[in-house]
Amino acid sequence: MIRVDHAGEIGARRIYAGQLRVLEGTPAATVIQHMAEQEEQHAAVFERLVVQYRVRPTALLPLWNLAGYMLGAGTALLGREAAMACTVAVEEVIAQHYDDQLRELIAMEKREPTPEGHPAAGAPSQSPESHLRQYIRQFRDDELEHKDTGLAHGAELAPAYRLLSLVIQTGCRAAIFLSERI
Amino acid sequence: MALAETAGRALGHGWHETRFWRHLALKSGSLQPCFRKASTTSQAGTGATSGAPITKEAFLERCTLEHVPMRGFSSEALEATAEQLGLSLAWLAWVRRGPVELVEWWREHELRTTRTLLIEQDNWQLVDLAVQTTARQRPDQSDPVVWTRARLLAFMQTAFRLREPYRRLWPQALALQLQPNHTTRGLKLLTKTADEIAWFAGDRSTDMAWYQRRVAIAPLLQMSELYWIATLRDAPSRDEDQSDEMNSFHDAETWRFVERVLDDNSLVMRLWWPNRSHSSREPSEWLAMAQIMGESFAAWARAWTRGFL
Repeated sequence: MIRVDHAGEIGARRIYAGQLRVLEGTPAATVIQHMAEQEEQHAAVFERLVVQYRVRPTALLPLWNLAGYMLGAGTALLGREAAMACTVAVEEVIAQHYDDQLRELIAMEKREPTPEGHPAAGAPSQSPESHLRQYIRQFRDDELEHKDTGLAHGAELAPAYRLLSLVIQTGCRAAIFLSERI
Repeated sequence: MALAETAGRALGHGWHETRFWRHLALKSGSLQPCFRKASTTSQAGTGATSGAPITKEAFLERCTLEHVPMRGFSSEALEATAEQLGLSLAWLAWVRRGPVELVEWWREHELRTTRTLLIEQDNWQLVDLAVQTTARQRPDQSDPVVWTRARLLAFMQTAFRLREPYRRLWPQALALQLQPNHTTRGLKLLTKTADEIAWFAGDRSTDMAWYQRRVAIAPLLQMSELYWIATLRDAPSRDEDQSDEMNSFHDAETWRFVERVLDDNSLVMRLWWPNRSHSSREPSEWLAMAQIMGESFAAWARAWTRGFL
């Protein structure tokens, strides 16, 4: 779980980096910059969690780095609206993914409640699942906010919005599938 | 099952025998899977004092610790353990893949014990004094390269010295693990061990370096193992200091070998720190590594022909 989230946040960071590289200096850049900073925070949290829980990072990390940058730069080249459409599509998939994880975490917690004083818990009364849940809930809300921002800045006006959205969402889902396993 | 039978009789069909009812009974726990029932019966038969059925773990543990040193990693050891516990020989079907499960149990046990000794109990008795003094310091108190090397050595020394009673039998153990059926499990254990060692030696990376470091350790482990078997001597060699109690292990050559492989500019160290700048002597690095591997295989082959296997 942490592996795929870690990969996702690093990928998102690279997407925004790609978009900023192309759209530097335009008014859209400030909006993207703000979103990129939030993603940095998310990524930092997951880096810490990867070490704390001794998770194996995904072997496809260099691939996601490259693909994310290309996606960001590519959509930005198609115009500001396309960049926003990319953001909307990605954030939608990520929000759904976080929702799925939250459900799974709740189910895990119900099945085996962790005893107090678990070494991996943040605070003595917190199980690792609820600890993770807090972070994921907060991040999901942030991602939904990004999606709304994207929509507000004209994502739906992008050329071939539906097609672009579909392609990007499928790509993201495939990436999630792979990173969970590899 | 009682409910199902009553219902069945009431309905006048063989309802209690249909898959639906059996499934329901299984889920509700009233119908136990066969092997669990049988094992409690056998336990009653042996009159085992603990009152709990002996688990497979406990069986393997007793076999490896008590019978293997005399009889080797073989089915004779398994049979002797079954006899000791009063189980019929048919129970050896439990140990489905045969003596290799003893080897695998031992490896996991060794990993757990090393971890317990070094991390939880801070017990460094099995580690050479010189290595201990560096490895027990905090990471920021000494040169990172030296500290990492010391930590790697410390873990390996503890693990190998725990294995000392089985040194003569180790070629047999390796031969068992190298059989095609069992290599995948062996590899999994190897990667698990490499992961533990990397963590112990301070690896906290979250990117590709994670993989590079474990790829660097795994062959090191394999080669040292081969060297360790091959340098078994019946009498202590002349250049060892008899007064030092560590030398009762007779593995000084193995550690000299490991230190050579972990030499400052070696391939292993360069995989560990991919960003450190070294003078690049790429082709000769690989040649040196190949030469070391060749040496260790040659030593093992010599030992084999001398009749250890």
